[in-house]
Amino acid sequence: MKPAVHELLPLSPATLHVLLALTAGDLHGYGIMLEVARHSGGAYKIGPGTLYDNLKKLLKLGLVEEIPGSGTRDSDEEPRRRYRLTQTGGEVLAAETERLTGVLRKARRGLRLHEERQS
Amino acid sequence: MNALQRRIYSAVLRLHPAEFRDHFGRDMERDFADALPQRGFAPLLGDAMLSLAWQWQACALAGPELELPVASHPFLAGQYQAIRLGGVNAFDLGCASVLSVALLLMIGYAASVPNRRVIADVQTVRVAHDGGIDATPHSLGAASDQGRREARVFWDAGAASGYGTGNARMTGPVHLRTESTGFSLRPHGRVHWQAPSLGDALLQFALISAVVWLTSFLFRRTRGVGARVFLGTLGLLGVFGSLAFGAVPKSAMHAQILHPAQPLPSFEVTTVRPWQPRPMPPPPPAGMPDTRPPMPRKIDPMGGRGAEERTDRVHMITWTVSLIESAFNFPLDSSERIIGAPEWVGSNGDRYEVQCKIEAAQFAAMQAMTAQQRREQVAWMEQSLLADRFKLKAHFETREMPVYALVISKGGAKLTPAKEGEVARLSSLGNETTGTAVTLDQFVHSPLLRPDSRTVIDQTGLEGAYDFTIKGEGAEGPSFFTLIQEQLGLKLVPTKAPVEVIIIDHIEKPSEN
Repeated sequence: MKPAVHELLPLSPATLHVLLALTAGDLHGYGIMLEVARHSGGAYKIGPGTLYDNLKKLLKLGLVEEIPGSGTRDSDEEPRRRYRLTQTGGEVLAAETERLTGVLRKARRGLRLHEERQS
Repeated sequence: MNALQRRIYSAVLRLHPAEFRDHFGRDMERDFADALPQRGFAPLLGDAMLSLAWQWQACALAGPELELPVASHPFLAGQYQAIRLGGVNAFDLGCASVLSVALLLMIGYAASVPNRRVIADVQTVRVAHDGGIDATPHSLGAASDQGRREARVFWDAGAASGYGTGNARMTGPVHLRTESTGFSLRPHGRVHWQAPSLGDALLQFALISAVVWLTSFLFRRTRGVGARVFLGTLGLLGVFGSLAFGAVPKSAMHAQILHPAQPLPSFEVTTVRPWQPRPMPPPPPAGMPDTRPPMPRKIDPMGGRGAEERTDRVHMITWTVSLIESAFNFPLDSSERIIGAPEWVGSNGDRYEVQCKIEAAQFAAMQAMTAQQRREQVAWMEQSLLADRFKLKAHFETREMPVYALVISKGGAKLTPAKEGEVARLSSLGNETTGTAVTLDQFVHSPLLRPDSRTVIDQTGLEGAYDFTIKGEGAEGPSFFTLIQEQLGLKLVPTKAPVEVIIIDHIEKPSEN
């Protein structure tokens, strides 16, 4: 039985970034790594180990699905698997974004009050 | 350089659990190759190592894995991990209880395996008689055929010309007469350290593996943090406790075999020649004086109660097997523990008259030793004799062999605890056997309690010394073993146990003197 969306929150930074990267479209592993680095401005990078550990978990949870890769005829190599954000994955990401938005809102308000007290 | 780095990375990937490796391994290698120029080798290798640890951890936590929030390798991600407690029903509780008990029992047994020999050894410490023992033709004549035992006797040179019953195989329950003090019993044999056998080591390994598996099995099905910590601690204690017990040096099973000393002392003079029995003179008619030579009196050359009884001569008429038993301190009639000997060595083979003299300085030095030490010195000299004259080459092994276990019979033991200050003594005279302050361990190693050549071990669990008397033994009466069951509440049960044996690699008939 898959856990409910709210039971998966909060997401770890790596999971959040992987799910966020997949909102750009279907990506293979290295594509996800590049996308994570790109949308975090290079501040957050993940390696293959971290990536596939998270993908394994996300596949089990049904937040991500695997798409068989399509290789070229010239290449003998097996095509790379690609990954796609599922509807559940999208819901979890949305819930996490909402949660983080709330945290952000509270953080901003707290900081504003703090600054007011300081002044 | 890149090729080497790829190989190292591939090697780390190969250490991952098979399921993960088969599914993601190839893609990980490709991604590593693509990322290597920008990221560098060290961060990617570190990432793979953390993945390795995570995946094996995930294997151990396969049950609740899906219920955990997804984590990432940066250790900071640990802040998001939380274990949620689920409901526990009676069935889960029952299963956990049964498995926990099984785990505890398994740990206990795994810890005890390497020490089984220690326990057995404590039960099989051999005793040696100390003091004069007469074995006369009269006592032989009174013997019945209810059992067969052997007495290893040492004759002084003057008496040996008499009846030639030297190292005599005798029959009957009453075959050893005590003169005045009977046997003085005490533990004999040196403890020496011995590594566990391959069988024990494998058994312990299997049990430790089972402990590890059962711990992880329970771990996966346990939700509470406290319970997991407890289980983890228990599992670790089980494994390391078992290993620690296994590492404890332990005495060998039946360590009473006297292993060769270095350097091996030897007799100054030895004479070994084949021996044929001579007819025994008939007793004189009633009323006529007995003109026969005095009865051969066995003198333990080094074990006499006083220095005046000791002699530097050893004179025995013996089968080779008996000489080996004497030299290596086997219990009497231990031919089953002497393996690989040719037929002429056995009790149906050749007999030899062996006369030896201990070198004067050595004999003088031995007077300062205890009786135990003196006896060991003589035994080592006999080993030297066997090596020189019989060209004996042998080694020792431990084998599972049939033994007799002395146990308490159904009605319970009927033994009287010994009084304080009593001296241990076990004697057999006429149809009465008397034990004073004798421990069960000493009793099982006395020649009185050996129905055949099997070793007897004490499994009564009774500690301390006891006084007892066994009456009614005789040619027409019940056997000695029936009597001990009736009168002492003890019985002998055939079983198997590890026993140290000697393997004869080479032996030949003694050369001319």
